[in-house]
Amino acid sequence: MNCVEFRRHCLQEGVLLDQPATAHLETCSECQRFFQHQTRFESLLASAMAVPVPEALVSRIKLRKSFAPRWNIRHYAMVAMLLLSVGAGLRLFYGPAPLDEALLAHALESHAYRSAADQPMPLAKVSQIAGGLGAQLTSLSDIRYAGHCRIHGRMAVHLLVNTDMGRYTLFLMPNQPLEQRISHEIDGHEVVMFPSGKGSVGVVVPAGSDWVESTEQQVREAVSWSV
Amino acid sequence: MVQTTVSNSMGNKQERYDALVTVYSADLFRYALWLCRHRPMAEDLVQETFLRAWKSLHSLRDDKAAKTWLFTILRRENARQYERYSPGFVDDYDFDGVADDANEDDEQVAQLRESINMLADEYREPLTLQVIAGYSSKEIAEILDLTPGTVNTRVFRARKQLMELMSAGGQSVVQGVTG
Ligand SMILES: [Zn+2]
Repeated sequence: MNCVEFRRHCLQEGVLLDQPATAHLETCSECQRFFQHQTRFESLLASAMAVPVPEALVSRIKLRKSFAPRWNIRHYAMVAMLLLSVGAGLRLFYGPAPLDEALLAHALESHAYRSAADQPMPLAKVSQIAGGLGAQLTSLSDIRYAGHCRIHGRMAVHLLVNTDMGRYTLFLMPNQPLEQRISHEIDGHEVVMFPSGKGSVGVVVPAGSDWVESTEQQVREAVSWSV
Repeated sequence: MVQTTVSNSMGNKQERYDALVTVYSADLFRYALWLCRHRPMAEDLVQETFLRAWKSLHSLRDDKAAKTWLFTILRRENARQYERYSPGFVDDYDFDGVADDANEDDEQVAQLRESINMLADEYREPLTLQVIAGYSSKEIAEILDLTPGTVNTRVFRARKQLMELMSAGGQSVVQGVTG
């Protein structure tokens, strides 16, 4: 191995040297100096790539799964048992959660609550984020969080909105079509979804709030689509 | 009898799944972040990956294959998103929270992250798989559907560009490389 090959090896493999590279390193002082720099670089590279991982990532992954099977376990338990006895799999147990449970799970566990601002977000920023998915928002002035998220694998706009009555979560889902309005109470929350544009809109408010209806009305008036 | 079978396989499945989450979620998150460069989306990608993994865990016969299986699911999920949506808005350079990490070699690491962010996707991805997941050129080639030679060329160029960007930024850790 010559010097050029040695250096190429370092840049391809990091500083994990094979036998020929090690042999060259022992005999070449120029490459020893190069190798020292390179080792420093590799250690920086490893640190840079190892970005901090969200603290509760593991528990959130496990939590999210726990939302998935619950809705149909009662309905499918019998069927699954029967299928099992003829050798079919457990797969039916774990069909996708319905949209409303997915929304609630996401609303409760997502980063949005933690990163909600003390001040209303500038409207320009909100418009930019909503506009990224073809949504326009008017007259929801006090938005404390706006970001993109994924619901059932499709991109959505995730918003936290403050009102005099309380805070609610709003999802704008251009790629999540819905046939008709759905409203459910799940785990102390009211989840309302209705068709909007080519997709749908979801609202999550604390259950029993007497402002669910007025909020829904307000949202219906505020949201429009360019797609 | 049937009931016993169900609870046994449920227990095994749950344990197996929990182990996968514990062992691989951090590396998957890092891979996801360097793919989409957006922390909330990276977490969503990891979440989606594990949901899919849970649903088809029965198809994973050999636990030794689990890591590549998960990385491949995540990669496919990311591709699915890019196919469906214009990538413009997810391409935010977004590492908020990174500065909180006290153990890090601060400035140089921060600068290097910016440089990694500037690499072309086709260079950054194989480098990420090599540095974070510890894959060989051959394994990376299989995941990315490339030849090992192409992988070698790309990780070589990725490092070279990073070192150039670092020295352009006034960092002294690098020196010129020929070849
Ligand atoms: Zn040499």
